[in-house]
Amino acid sequence: MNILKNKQQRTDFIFVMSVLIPIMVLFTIIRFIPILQTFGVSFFKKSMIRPERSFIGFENYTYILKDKEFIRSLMNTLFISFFSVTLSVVFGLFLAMQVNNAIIKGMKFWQAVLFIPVIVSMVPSTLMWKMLFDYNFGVVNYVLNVIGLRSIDWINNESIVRWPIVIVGIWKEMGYNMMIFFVGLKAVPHELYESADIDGATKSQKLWYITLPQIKPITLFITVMSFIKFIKVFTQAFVMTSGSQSSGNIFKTLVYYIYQQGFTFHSMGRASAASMVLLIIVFVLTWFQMRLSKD
Amino acid sequence: MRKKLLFLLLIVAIMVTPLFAGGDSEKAGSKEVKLTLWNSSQTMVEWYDEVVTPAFKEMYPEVTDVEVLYLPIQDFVKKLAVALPSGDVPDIMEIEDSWATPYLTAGYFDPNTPELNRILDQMRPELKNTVTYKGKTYGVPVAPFHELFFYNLDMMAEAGITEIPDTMDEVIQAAVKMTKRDATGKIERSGFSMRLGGNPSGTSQKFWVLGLLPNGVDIWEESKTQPGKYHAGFDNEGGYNALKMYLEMLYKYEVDDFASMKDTEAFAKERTAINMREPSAAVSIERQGPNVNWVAAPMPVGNVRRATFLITLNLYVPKDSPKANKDLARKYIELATSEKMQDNNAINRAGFHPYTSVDPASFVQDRLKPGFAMPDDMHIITVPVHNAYDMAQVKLGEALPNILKKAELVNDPEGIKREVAYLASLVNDAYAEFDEYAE
Amino acid sequence: MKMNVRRNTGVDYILLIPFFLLVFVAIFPLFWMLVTSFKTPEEFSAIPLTVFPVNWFKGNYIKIFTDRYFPRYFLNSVVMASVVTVVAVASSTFVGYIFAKFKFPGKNIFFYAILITIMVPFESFIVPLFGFVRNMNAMNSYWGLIFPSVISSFGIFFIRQNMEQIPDALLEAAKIDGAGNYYTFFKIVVPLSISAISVLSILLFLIEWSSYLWPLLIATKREWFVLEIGLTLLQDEYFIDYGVMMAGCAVAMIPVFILFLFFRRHIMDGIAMTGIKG
Repeated sequence: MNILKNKQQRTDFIFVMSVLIPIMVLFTIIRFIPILQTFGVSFFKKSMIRPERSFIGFENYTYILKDKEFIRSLMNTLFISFFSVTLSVVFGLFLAMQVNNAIIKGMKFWQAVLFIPVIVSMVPSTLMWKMLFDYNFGVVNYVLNVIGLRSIDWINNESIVRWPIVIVGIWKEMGYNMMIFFVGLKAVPHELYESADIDGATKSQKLWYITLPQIKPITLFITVMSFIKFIKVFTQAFVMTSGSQSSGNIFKTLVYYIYQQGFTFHSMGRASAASMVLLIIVFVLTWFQMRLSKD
Repeated sequence: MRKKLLFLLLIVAIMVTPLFAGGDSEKAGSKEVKLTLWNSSQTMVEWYDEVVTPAFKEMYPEVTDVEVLYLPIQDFVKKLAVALPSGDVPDIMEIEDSWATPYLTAGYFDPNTPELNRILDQMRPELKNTVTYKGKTYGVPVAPFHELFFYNLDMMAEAGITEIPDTMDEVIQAAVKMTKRDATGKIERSGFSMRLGGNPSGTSQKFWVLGLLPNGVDIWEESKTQPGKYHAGFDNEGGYNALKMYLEMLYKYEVDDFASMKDTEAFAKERTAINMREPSAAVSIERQGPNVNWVAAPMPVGNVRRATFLITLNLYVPKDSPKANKDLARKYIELATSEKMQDNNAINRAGFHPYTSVDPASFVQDRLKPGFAMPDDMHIITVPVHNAYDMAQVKLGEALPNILKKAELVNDPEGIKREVAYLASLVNDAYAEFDEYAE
Repeated sequence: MKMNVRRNTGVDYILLIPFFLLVFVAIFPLFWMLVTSFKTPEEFSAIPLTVFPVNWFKGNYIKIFTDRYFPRYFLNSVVMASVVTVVAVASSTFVGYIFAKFKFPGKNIFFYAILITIMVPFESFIVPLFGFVRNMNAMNSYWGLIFPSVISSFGIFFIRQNMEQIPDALLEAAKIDGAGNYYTFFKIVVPLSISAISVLSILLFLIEWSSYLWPLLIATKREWFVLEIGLTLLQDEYFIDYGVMMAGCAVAMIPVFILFLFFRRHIMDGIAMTGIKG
């Protein structure tokens, strides 16, 4: 028995290594090394377009942490992420459960419909919503007027435009989350529901005591992934507020800030430092989420 | 199982083929040459393809094609930032002067040959400023443009205005008369379309030409003690008057607001009466609003002077471009910037004819002509080559909308002064950033 | 696969109201997009607004399909997205499996190292990565387009989370019966995870299909541009041509949607865990 176990362990080990080694080599080349280089550059004064560089320690970090624009971008990003993630996860779960329960016919069709926003490119999607929120021609203001409210200038005010940006995000993300939740719901063993039925459990009891605990790993996955995705929000915020047609400021997010430092001001050092700060924030919050879900 | 194997083989095949196909397509030994040119101005592509290149091929039969690769400006700048340092460059690049500056000072372009300089010498002297760095010249202007005003004639007639305004005060008075509101007081049609946001460098460019230049000041000012170094040029009465004028247009005369439709699109759809833009916007106005009855006019006289900028797209030969093609690339630039080709460019694109010997107004369509007839008192301002310019522009353009949203400033002279000083500090910081700052 | 015992209450039906509200929110912009793609620029900005085009204008689509490089853009996008999807899904499935079901030294470190890489925005390390790929002489080639995306941290994490739901007893049983690791993987683990693999395939294809910045940097010739870039080149410099943009968007959606319909069968009918008797 002991020998068999060792043999099994050995073959397992070979299997693991045969998978892990090539993948880790690839990761090293196309992820770890470039990211470490970025980390390294964050301690230098380095122009993106000039070869020379000089070591300046933490100066890039102190610069961006003191930069009002950075703080503003950070706050904007956290705001967008919080609302987009929470609502798109809740809506995604709700939609997935409705589709899975299928109390009326044709749910397959509606599921396909709900998935379409996911496959539309971000730039046209955002422009489409921008049209709907347009002050002068937008359908949203038209509806507001019909019900007797005044038009709202959705786009040109930094404190209002965050809502259309959140809505675009939710619109695109909820179908995505729905699909992943759906897979999770499918995987919940039927026996659990069957035995609960025998015990006479109500629907909400089944939801609370069976479904939600069972899909916990998937929920954690979706929350973490959505969060990581939204903290890198860029396109919808940029497209919604840029172009000569727009007035008011561009709604800056962290990635826009990084982008601007790098591609506009050519300051590789600061762009890298800002990326590292972003990494730390995401890492801490992710770790916190994972911790939370373990209890 | 066999199906799967075939599928796998197919994938491997797809992955491997490009390895062979993707290699360099330059055929060794053959004398045929293909030049490449990158640009970011859509309206220029047709001109290169249909006018310059055919003429060039006639002169140099060994050239099979001059391929123009157009990219929208926001993509173009990313490509520049990566391609120039890595050396993956075309034979010729067309870049707007201020975008090219950081690359020019970093040494990514070849200095002009005597032949190219000879062309430069025949052009308007102001243009030389945009390509001169440390005594050498880099690149030749291929498409200069200035700023002018577009007026909607029907709206002017409706408001009883018979003459095109010639001073900024008259412009504002006319704009007030032409502003239209709906029952709720919301602006349906602005009297003058103001640039209040969007791409930051555009915002500050408009503030520069409409606010600062007519008030006799500039974004920058060269240091008197250290030539080649700069500081903000508007922390003074001129800057104060510029910002005050913007605020008054918004909150005293109320000719525009943040929510209205803006710019060329608004003008083409008759949602604004006056718009300020470069001449090539005319092409777009004609396409989107063929029935708009408009005329162009030069920049009006401001508090201190009449002024416009002259910005230009230049053609550069990158330092790392294929050596074998460099001579032909220069010949192409010579041809494209020649007087004959520029005649054509001026007609088709409503460009500004760069040659001193030619009247810039003589080539454009009638309703654009007044905008090209430069009055004698016109000051033509160009941007000298300096590194911080772009950053200064962006920082200025990002800060402006926030200031312009403060309606209470309009009656607060001290507040305006504070904001002007703040804007100036942003510009000075940008210069300090590039070691170009001096009192 | 439907549950046999079903007692639908009023609450279930009331919940359909928010469901269809969300469905409406999801499709209204798409509907608007589609009708816009058949409008001329004049009609698009006409007042009052028309819902359906007065005459269905096909010019926007003609402009796209008659672009000389359109077939090439399309081919590039298809090749890039398909190869990336196949390779990345395969690698994610293997790696996700070993992270879900094996114990080995340094497992957590490896896992977190992989996870961290998605927390750094791609834009911030694109320059060093570009330098590397360029030095491989991979400019203007499928290799260059594909190489940075052949692995997916997202995919690994996703597969791991899904495979953790597979009962250990099932795999133990297979091993006691003498099945090798590869046999277990292909004959038990993969079929059990077919839903997850299908979803992952769609999502990775989608990510790659819509990638923009990397293909932009790696191509210096028009024949190496991908569809997303090609469509932006059709835009006007001075104003947004909504008609062309929405038509382009509709065209670009089609391959992904077809793929979705193809995989949906696997997602819907994915074998629930207990469907197989261990």
